[in-house]
Amino acid sequence: MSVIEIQNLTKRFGTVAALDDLSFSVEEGEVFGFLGPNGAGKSTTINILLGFTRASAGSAQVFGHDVETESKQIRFRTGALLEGYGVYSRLTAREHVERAANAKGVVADPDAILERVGIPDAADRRAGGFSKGMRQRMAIGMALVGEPDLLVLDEPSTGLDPNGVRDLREIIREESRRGATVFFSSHLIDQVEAVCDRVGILKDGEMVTQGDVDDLRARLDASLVSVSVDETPDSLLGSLRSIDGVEEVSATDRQVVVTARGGVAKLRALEAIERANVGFTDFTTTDPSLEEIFEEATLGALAAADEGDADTGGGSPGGDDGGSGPGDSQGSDETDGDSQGSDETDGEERQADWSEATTEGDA
Amino acid sequence: MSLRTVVEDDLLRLRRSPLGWGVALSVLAPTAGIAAIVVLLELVNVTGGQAAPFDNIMMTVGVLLSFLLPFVAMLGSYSAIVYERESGSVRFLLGLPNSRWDAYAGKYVSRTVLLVVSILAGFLTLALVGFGILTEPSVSGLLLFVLATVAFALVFVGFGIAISSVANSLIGATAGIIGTYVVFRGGWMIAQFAGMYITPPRGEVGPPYPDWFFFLGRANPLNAYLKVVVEVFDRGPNTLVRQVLLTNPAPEVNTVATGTPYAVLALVGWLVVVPLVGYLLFRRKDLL
Repeated sequence: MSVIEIQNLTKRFGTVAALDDLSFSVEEGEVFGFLGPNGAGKSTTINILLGFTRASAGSAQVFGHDVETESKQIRFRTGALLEGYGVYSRLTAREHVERAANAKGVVADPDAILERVGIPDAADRRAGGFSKGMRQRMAIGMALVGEPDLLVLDEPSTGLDPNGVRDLREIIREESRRGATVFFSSHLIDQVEAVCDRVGILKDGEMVTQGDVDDLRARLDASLVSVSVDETPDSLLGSLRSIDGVEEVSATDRQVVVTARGGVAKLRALEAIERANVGFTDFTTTDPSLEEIFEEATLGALAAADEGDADTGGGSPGGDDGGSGPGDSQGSDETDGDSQGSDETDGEERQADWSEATTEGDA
Repeated sequence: MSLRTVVEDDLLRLRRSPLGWGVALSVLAPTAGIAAIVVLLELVNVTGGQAAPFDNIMMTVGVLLSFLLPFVAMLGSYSAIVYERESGSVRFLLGLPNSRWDAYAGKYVSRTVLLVVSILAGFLTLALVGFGILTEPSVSGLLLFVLATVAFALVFVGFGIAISSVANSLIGATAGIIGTYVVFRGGWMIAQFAGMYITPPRGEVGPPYPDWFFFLGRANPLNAYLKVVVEVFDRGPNTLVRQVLLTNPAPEVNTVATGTPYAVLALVGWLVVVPLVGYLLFRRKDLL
């Protein structure tokens, strides 16, 4: 059963399309990662789901309720942590949680909730004096009030230190085990990969690809083959570049690195290196991380493949600047000191490493 | 339940904010403040043992309130919703199961409570002084005065909330309440005389004024409130208020627009229509 069902959703701000004919669904009990670069339309989608913004066209239902006409019923069963929120600076953390419980008409234990999110000692302090991380923890606590059937988390790790991020992941896993559906929107791929069953990647208001991470890896089908050799003559590099499916070849004194799409291309590359008699000693292959999938989806290959054939994957890279499209309107006007900025990434640079799912083999 | 939650939360924050206390003091100044001045004058025996008439003091309070209360009421309400949007707390307010009606009506009620409690506190002080010191106090007059003042204040709470719900920034809302005040305080009169200038006989702006002049003029809530106050406390034909603040109709003018029922109707009309229009616009507005 779908908890979230979005069909042909379009949102225009003037002449700019923030969402363009967006359709996807989120099933009950799954942790769905909603990925996309800044400005892709993630927050706009959430704003429509929760009734802050009206769609220009299309429809969306949550728990079978129309998001425009039955928004209150949806929010009774939903816990939301939205990007760019601002706390009530004159209310304490306990009052924030009580406020959420009162609005939902449930009995909640603020102390237990604040303990769960790691700020038990701040219960009676006014939120105006909180650090960014404490505010974020308090907001997560508010979202958890009433054991919601759906958790909507928009960039939930903003402002959290590594311990906070780890706690957040644990909370998401606990909520998932409880049976809650989690809609996890972020541009931080490692965090999505750590907790999500399935991901959808949004770009310029369109869903460029979706599926579970393994499926997407398989569809991308690109990996690195690193081969240790005694020498790297130009003739070898040229012959490798001529192999179908080999996209990039680089070399150091004693190593050749081949980016190849598909098992056949990798095998032919290895065979070519062996035939070249350059002292072939060892090789490793590395499957793409979700980050590579994200890059491919938003920069080229996967997006191009999905545009051509949503089922087969493949395609060629390049051709898209990958820049953030217009769309998310929230955050830009928020000047109050109590608000959580929408562009805050706290310097959490993402590493484009190929460290995951490494397999090794001997020649 | 949600509406009540919004009201309680907003009142709690108002109680802890300088805005709430500032608004309350601004209402108390022309009411309890006048009462304090009366007591002071009595204590230093400036009046020579001859206490001022109750009606005169109430009339003074009414005139002061007609200038102050619109702005104070709008000041106390203009940020109610737009500040939540600017600060981001609207994501809590409407991310929780509060409908837009809950948010709008809840803010209206809480800001109304702030104004009404302040007005009642001020008038309670006035009543104590009025019935203790002043001559010829009138219970019915005071009750009518309180009723008209509360209605008058709520008209501008309505303007403040409506502006707050449709503005996209605090600056825009601030401009909105200033503009509203300027329109009613000066622009309205200019429109009346501009109308006189462009309607036959063209170019004449003096009396006798046509009926429409009074229909338009007394529809202004400031004038409507003054008319009610004058009707209760100032029955003389050519008093200062009638001469300066309200256009004095010529004896031959016979229109319902200059009557008290029309003034009451005007106040009630603004009281109902403004918040209603504000809500209808807010109901479908993109908030993020």
